[in-house]
Amino acid sequence: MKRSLLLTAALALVGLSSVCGSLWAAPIEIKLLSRWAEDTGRSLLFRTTIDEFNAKNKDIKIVGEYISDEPAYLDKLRTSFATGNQYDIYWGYGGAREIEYAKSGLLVDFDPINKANPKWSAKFVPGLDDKWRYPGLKGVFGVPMEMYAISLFYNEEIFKANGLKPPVTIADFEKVSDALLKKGIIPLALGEKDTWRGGHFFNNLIMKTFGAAGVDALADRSMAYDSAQIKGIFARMADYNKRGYFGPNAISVDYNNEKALFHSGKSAMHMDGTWYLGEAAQQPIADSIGAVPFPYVNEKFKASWFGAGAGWSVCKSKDKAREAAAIKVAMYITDKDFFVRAFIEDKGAIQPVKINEADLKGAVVSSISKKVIPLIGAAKELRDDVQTYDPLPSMLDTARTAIQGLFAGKSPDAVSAEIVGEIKARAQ
Amino acid sequence: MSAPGPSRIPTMKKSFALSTLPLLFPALLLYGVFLLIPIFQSIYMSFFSWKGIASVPLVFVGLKNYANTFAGTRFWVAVANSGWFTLGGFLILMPLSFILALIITSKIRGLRFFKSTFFLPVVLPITAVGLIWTYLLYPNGGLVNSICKIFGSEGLNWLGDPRYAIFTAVVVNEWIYAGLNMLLFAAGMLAIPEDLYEAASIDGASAIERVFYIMIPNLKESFKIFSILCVTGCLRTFDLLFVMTNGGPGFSNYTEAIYSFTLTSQFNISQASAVAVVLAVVLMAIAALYVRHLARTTLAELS
Repeated sequence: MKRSLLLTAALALVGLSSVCGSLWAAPIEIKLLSRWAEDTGRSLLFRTTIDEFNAKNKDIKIVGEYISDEPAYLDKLRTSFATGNQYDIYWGYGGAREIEYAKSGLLVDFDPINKANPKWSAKFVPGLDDKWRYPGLKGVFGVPMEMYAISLFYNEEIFKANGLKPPVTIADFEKVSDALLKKGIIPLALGEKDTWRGGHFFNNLIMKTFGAAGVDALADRSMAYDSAQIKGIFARMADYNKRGYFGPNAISVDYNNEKALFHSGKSAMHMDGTWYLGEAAQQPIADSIGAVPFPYVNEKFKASWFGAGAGWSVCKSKDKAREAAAIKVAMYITDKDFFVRAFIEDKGAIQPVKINEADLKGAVVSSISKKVIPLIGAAKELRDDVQTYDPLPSMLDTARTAIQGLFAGKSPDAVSAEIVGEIKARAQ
Repeated sequence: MSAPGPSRIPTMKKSFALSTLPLLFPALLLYGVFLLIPIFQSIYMSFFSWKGIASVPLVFVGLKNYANTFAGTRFWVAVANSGWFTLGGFLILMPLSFILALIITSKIRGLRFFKSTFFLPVVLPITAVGLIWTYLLYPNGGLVNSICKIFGSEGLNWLGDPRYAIFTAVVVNEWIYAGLNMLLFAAGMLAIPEDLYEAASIDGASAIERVFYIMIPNLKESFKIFSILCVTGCLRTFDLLFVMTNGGPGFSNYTEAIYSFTLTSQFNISQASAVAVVLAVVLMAIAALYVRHLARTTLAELS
């Protein structure tokens, strides 16, 4: 009797402790690194979505870190991989910057997940995950969260007041810019203190001159950075800077100053991506902002756009439960519901998924989004930053830094030589 | 009573050593973990190639990172910029700090105001100072160019033109550190006995002669300390120049520290380590020369 009582008590204790253990078990912490740190629009919506997930799921807790400044963000990300403490989910752009992580077997392949969840995966715009597919590696190592394409925004009132039409060709752009300069208006302020601005202008010229084939040719070195064609691109940028198209002392102006010049009417045009639509919709000049594709150099490539996707990569973990939780989180935050809400929140910002009218339920779309959406819809090919497809991870920084030299008086030859020098040094 | 043998350590000394070691241990631990280990890791890594991923092994490449460092233009641009900082230290900072020290050790009115004003830049965070000066030097509407316009000049692109940017940064650097070095010279000035000045006055020396023939010779040690701090500080310049220019335009405002930092952003951690090691070796050589000179001078004075 005594023994059976003791046995029953022991079993009850074991049962109780396992129940209590599961009740008291700490949730799996998923570390997430993102650039969406702003307190407005989709950034705020995203962080709200994270809080909603944490409230609904007691067994998983997302711990998010948000850094909007790109260099600071990239430093954080690289340090995490260097120390072996990589985030479970991180925001990235795929391509050359992340190829080494994929090659090292650190990233989850989403191909089997896409196949196992067709309803979830079929909603994405086709081809957006191309940047997470690497030559020589089987699989896709990322999930799109953002789609962007770079347009040329312009102040309709300034153009109308000066009898100008928005440029279609690069020759139009030069004519319009010369006319604006005569009126004391900066044609296209460029914040080249932030090197990515000059890099984006270069990307646009490459796409509109050589198309996607040009980007691929630079990546596989069949077109060299010191070829006559590329020196011609550099020479054009240097010439535009010298003529004053980018404003005085563009090298001392940063991206925020550049936008301020456009918003205040001091600059007539502004080159930017679809991430800018939410901010544009909140400006006093919102209803006067028009958009056109970046002017083409070669008519054959008028429908070639600088743009691509950005999104999430999930890192593998020795703890398979943790890895599964991270994949669950990645699928949750890329659910169609979020994109519809983000579209509504930003009054029509471009999303990486197909959204129907029925999904929007009468949502307000900003006038600028209404102008941009059909433009991008007509794009025939998209490519990201030229150096994203380069085999050298350092090429993006190298090219952008070298291009900045154009704005400081460096010759196209010197800029080309600098880039080629880096390629040779790394090849040794 | 026989004398203690040469192998016997006096008990007092031994117990003193044993009791101090545990007290020193925390500091030594911090020193080792946060200084020595990273230094040796950097030296080790500089002989390897590494992709910047913890799970990827290092590949031994010998002196290749050093060869690439010395063969590249950026390193020598960085060396030249450090040279400009050092030259600025001796040509601008030293006389400026000396003059400020003269002011605050004099008997003029408003001494407290001058002391606080001159020392204020030292207590401000470098990042904040860098940003403030960036906006003051902004070519389109910044305060400096606005003042230039009053005098009929358009001003310059102080931080955007590679011809001027480094010199602009040097001047800002002297503005920041003048207050700190002012204290160094002031301490030396206050240590000079008043009798020497009185004797010189009696002999008919003017104020300027007292400065040149009494004060400056007696500030030899202050100048030595300033020199070593100036050289080592200038070689390590990073924060101010990075905040104001990011090392640009291009790489025209690189210093060794900025170059090393930029290399890490390009997944080239091994070469970044090589650049850091070169800088460390140069700094240690300067420090060693100084200590050797100091030892010789001290011995000469004692003998």
